[in-house]
Amino acid sequence: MIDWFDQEAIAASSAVVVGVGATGNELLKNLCLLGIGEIHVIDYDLIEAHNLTRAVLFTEADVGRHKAEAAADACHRLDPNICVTYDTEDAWKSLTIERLRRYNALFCCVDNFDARIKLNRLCLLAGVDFYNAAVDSRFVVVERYALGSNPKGACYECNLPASVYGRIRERYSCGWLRKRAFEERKVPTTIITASMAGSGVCSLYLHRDRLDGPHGSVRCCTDTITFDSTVSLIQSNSVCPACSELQGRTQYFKLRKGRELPEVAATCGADEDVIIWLSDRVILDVSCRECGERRVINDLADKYDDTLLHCSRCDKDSNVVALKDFMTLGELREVFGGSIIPVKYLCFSVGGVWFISELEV
Amino acid sequence: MDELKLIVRTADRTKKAEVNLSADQTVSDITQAASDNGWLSKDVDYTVVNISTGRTLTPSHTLRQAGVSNGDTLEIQPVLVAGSHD
Repeated sequence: MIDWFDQEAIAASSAVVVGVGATGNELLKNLCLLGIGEIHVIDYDLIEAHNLTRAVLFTEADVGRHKAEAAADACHRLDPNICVTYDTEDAWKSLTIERLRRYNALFCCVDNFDARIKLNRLCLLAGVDFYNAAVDSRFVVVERYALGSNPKGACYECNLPASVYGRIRERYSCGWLRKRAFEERKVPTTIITASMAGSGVCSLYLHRDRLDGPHGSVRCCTDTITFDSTVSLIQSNSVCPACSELQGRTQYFKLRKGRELPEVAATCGADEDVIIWLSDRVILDVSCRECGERRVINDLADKYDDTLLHCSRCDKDSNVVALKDFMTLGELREVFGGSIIPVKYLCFSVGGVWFISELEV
Repeated sequence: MDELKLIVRTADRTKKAEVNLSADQTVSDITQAASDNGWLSKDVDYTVVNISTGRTLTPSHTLRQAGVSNGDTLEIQPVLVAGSHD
């Protein structure tokens, strides 16, 4: 009945939805009612009473439950034929590149830039289209990044202003340790903007083939008060911190804990000086510049906050943290030896080929 | 040094001005100038879209690199962050 609507194609498609707040609720409702084949929902947050004013999928009985679980149940109620799974952990921890590759798209409905950047990078590595939806109390921005169908297209980071990275840095101390006392700024949103974002990003997905131009990455900004709306093609950036280096052939492989990396890397043609890029910052050690006491850490920086800067022996913030997000293969071998490399994935380039290695959790 | 006569406006279209800019100025210079003039909220990040060509502009590019032409209309749009938790 609707000439542009292909029910079979939608039923055959699948998506990951990260973030089930107001926008995620609206998006999930639309995907279910359209008859998508498979959805994987991820959110670590719990439902609070104040969420109910902007969440079409949650009821009072759901307060205290995980958003992802309650949303998955609601999706089942809307259409029992849809295959719905969920995860109540942080997406960066639970969503593997290998798993993401099974889906056609990832919808990003989270509430901070850090998570958007990480999810964009996962989609880049997995070659999966990245859909971004964001709102405030007046504007709606929905974006499609054709990372799966057009690897040379722009990614989320290609046009991010420098001020965004400045805001991310505000969350950390000078040594890139999480600030204990940092409070995220609150952005007021409304169900009007969330509803339009859920519809807009869903429409971008439905009409994705129509938007596949030479770039394929599209931004739509709508003023929900005046209804002024602009659609623009997003330009790729040759010095993008996320995608510029990754152009060309990529090869994916999986490692158990990373112990076998040196041997595997050698078979890829990597020598001891090849740079290994780590997905997460790692703290190697902490040493006090006053008393000289040194402690080996070799663990994820995200597990620590700025209390690590405090030397208990000197009773002042005199510790210096050695932190890395890349090292040579030789250094990696020296630091981690036969022990576990505590990152999500690592990458290295040999002869123009990017090797992406995901570590089993 | 080429000079471009451009129209710059905010996404809510309450602010609009005709400006003369050097083609060597960067795209982020436009958002900075708009912010300095009190057009923009300090709590929000912004990107620039060339309405005349329908393309977003890379912040670090000069207007020449970004392909901005004389007479183009540039719109300063918010880079929003909320979507889920509230």
